[in-house]
Amino acid sequence: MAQKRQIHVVIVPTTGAPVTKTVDIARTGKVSVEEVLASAGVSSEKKSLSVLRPTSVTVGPDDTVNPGETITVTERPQGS
Amino acid sequence: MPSSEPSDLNRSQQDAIFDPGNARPVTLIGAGSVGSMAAGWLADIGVSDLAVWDADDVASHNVPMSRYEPEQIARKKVSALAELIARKSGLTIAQVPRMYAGEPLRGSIVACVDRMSARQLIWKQVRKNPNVDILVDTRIAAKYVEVWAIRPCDPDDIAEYEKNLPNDRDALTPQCGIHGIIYSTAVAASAVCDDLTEWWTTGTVRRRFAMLGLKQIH
Repeated sequence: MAQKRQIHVVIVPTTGAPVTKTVDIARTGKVSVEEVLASAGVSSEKKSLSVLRPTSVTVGPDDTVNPGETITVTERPQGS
Repeated sequence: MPSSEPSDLNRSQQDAIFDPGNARPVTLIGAGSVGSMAAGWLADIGVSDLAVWDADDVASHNVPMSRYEPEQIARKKVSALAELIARKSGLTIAQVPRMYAGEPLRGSIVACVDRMSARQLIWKQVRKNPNVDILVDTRIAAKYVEVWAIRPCDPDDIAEYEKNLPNDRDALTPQCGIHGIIYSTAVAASAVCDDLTEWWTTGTVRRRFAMLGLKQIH
């Protein structure tokens, strides 16, 4: 049985707990981060986007991701 | 002038974890919530050459989320911090009571500032600077903490850090009520000490550390 083509999106707020959404990918090949986020209903404004490969790597909306990968969406804090 | 020897606290319960003899000179920019705690803890573990930059005075809202004490309100932060550190560890820190404005930097740099534009200013002096061995940059919003440990001459570190150095308007603005809380900012200060001591001792860096509350974020 073919493995489901899914990409996970973890949305990290500044309080509370992270929320995970799963996006099913209908077509073959890579998909853009922007496309996945749009499907998940997540805005990338003022957000950092990263993927574990195997360490955390920053990606942009135009970069591509593979099925099975997880995009982590965090706010961009600047306080200290 | 900072003293040249580690202060004489009894570190017998921790000196096999970190030997103060491995500490390098540290310049810490921004003595707010994270910065005041990190500076104090660096002195506690035996950092003997510590310079702290900050132009601000201690405000009442600083007290519950920092190392400062209520009777220090309205004093220069660097002066108040110097007093607290000297009282506990005996270390004399170098006080720089002004805003960092792009002066040359050397040694290990800790950025605990409140704006991306301030980080960009520091980065201009740190990027590919062979006199700076590491930049540790702390960022907080409410209970979310992010700490970057960057080797200024490492191409991968440079590339990754510069992807995460937006303008002020493209990052969250610190807001009253949800700026941070001491037990979360303490996590950032703790990461500063761990990043520096690991780098000084083993030569390894974590590059990016992120936590929401006590949950690590990858």
